[in-house]
Amino acid sequence: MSNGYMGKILRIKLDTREIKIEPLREDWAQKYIGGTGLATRYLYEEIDASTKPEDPGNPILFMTGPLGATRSITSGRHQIVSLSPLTGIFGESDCGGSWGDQLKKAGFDGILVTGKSPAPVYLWINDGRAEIRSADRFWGVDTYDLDPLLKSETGAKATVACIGTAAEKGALIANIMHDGADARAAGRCGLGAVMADKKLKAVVVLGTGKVSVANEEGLRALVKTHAPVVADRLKDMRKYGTARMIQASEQLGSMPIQNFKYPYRWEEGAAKISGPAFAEKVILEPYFCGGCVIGCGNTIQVKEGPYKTVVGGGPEYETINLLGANCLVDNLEAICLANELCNRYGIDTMDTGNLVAFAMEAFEKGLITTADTGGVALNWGDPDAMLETVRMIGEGNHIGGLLRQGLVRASRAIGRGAEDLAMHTKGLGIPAHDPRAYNGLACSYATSNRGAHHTSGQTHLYEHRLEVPELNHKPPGRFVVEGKGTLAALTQNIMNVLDSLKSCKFAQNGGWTIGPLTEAFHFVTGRTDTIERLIEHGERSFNLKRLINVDRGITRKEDTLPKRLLTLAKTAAGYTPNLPPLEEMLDEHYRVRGWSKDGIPLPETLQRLEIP
Amino acid sequence: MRVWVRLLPPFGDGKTWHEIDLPAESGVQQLIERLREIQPQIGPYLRHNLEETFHQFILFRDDHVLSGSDFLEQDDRIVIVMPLTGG
Repeated sequence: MSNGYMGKILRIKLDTREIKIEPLREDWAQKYIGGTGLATRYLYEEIDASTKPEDPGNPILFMTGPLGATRSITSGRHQIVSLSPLTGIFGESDCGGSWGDQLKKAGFDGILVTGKSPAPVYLWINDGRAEIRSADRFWGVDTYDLDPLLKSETGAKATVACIGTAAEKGALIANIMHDGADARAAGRCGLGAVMADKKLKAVVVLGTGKVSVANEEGLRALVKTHAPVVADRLKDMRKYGTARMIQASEQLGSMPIQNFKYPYRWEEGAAKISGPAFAEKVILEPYFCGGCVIGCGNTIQVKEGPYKTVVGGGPEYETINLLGANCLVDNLEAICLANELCNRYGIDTMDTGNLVAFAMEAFEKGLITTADTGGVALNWGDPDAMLETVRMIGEGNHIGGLLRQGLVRASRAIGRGAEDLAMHTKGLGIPAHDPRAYNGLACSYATSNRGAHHTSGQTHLYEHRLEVPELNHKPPGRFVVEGKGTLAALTQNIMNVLDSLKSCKFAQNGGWTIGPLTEAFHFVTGRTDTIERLIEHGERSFNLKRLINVDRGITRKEDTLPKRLLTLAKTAAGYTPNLPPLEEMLDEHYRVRGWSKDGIPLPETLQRLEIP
Repeated sequence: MRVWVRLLPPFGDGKTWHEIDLPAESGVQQLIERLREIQPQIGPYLRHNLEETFHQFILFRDDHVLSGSDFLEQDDRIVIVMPLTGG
């Protein structure tokens, strides 16, 4: 077993109920590190160009990284990878909490699940052993209620990854929830729908093992240097959660407001759903993922009133913006309840927020009416209309049955111009960072392998404020165009490294960037890969994902943004009326990546990266 | 030179525009030093240099984030807010 790895992959075939423990492909770990890279390499091996998301042979992979369950800070994360039923292409989602650490302590770097069970099951993984158990009695139970039920028949200290009721009923925006009411979500790409299709209700893990570290003293010293700095630089996240960024987002013009079309400033609304407002009204205490020194999560409760919630994980920045500002809803308590509903149903708050805003605009334009909504008027800014739409999506009632199939299918079915109201790239709803506020982010969204997602590149941070001394990187400014195709490629490669090591991206803001992470990787594994070599591993992962997508028809045509974000400038007072010159940036991006003008990796690129 | 500053929570009430007099050709550093005197509640957020302080709060002029080397102009309206750190 190599340092940093447990050396084992758990392979499950649900149709034959076969459980096999196989050695980790260490040759792949050398080139793809772990997490997203390694999971993608396994995925690539399991599928061919004809494999569809709904095929039994489409695997779902849960993969940890080499830093997980070590003292390396903010590394208790894991990646889930599969072909996405929502988008039809490569799908992945990253998740915090403690599930990833537990899986490693249970003796496995990852789990690969194929086949479809004829009846509901869950996996119980406990210190090197795995079992497939019946989940008949758990089918139909929501994610908050399921967690204690599963713990009662496995172990009180076990951690649960599971799907909710929406996935069971065919929602394609279904996510995979973790840790019960603490609500850590692998939200994106509809991966919960893959589990539901396999009748896999949950994966429960418990482990007590340890990860072998090559140089414990070196790692300890590195962490001792960096942890206090990270904690201080991000200390207000502990108090205000990720909502601390809400008002900066409004100032920057990057807040999504009214389905990305609002022509005014929204400062008063932003104040009502800001971090300080959350702290004053609902936050009970911070929540820390495994190995975290930041504590950006929070436990909240709306104690009384029509939007009362249980004690549980609070809404994050993306959720607050997309279910709030994007629907013109400034009622913080209603957003908290919407968050709880989404979590219980097991649906992505980001796509749900986009879908509610889409439905409100479709209603405004008369494309849908109260006949489609069970009599609910989907008026902008109405918290009850927002909540009812979330319920419709969660339950599959009325227009919700269509909306839960995602923005592409819903907008096509409604027609009459509804496609122009659907804010997505490659079928994935746009995150709560408006790409008109950052040119590099626009390029990054457009070329992201899973569809638009802010953490696939975090390019906005690198162009706006993040300095990375070890790369001689200084932020070039948000509206600069030249070099942004290159920056998008660099940051996507770096994020592939972080998602392979499984390190939290927030910590970059505290200085836990690719430089110290390279040192941590060195101390944990004993490997001597340079920063440049690690970034090359990230580039390899990115290109492999692209190949999977090229096999599914993705070319330059799909590397785009919604028309609104390319043609409608934000002209409110104080905002720069920028429109991202996407085609120019794509030319540069493809050139730097070694792709053809159509966005296909060239043979020499694949050869350089040793991609099979 | 006179500038106007609004401090969003937790640095201030988020509503009041504070009128602040500064010597001509002042920059961000001078503004923050003046704020330390007249808005002492920001004291706990200040660090040994501006680079570190900007991890605690940032200054906007319209949608432009000011750097430590930016100069201010008469009647600039500056908003102080917690920074964006990801999402």
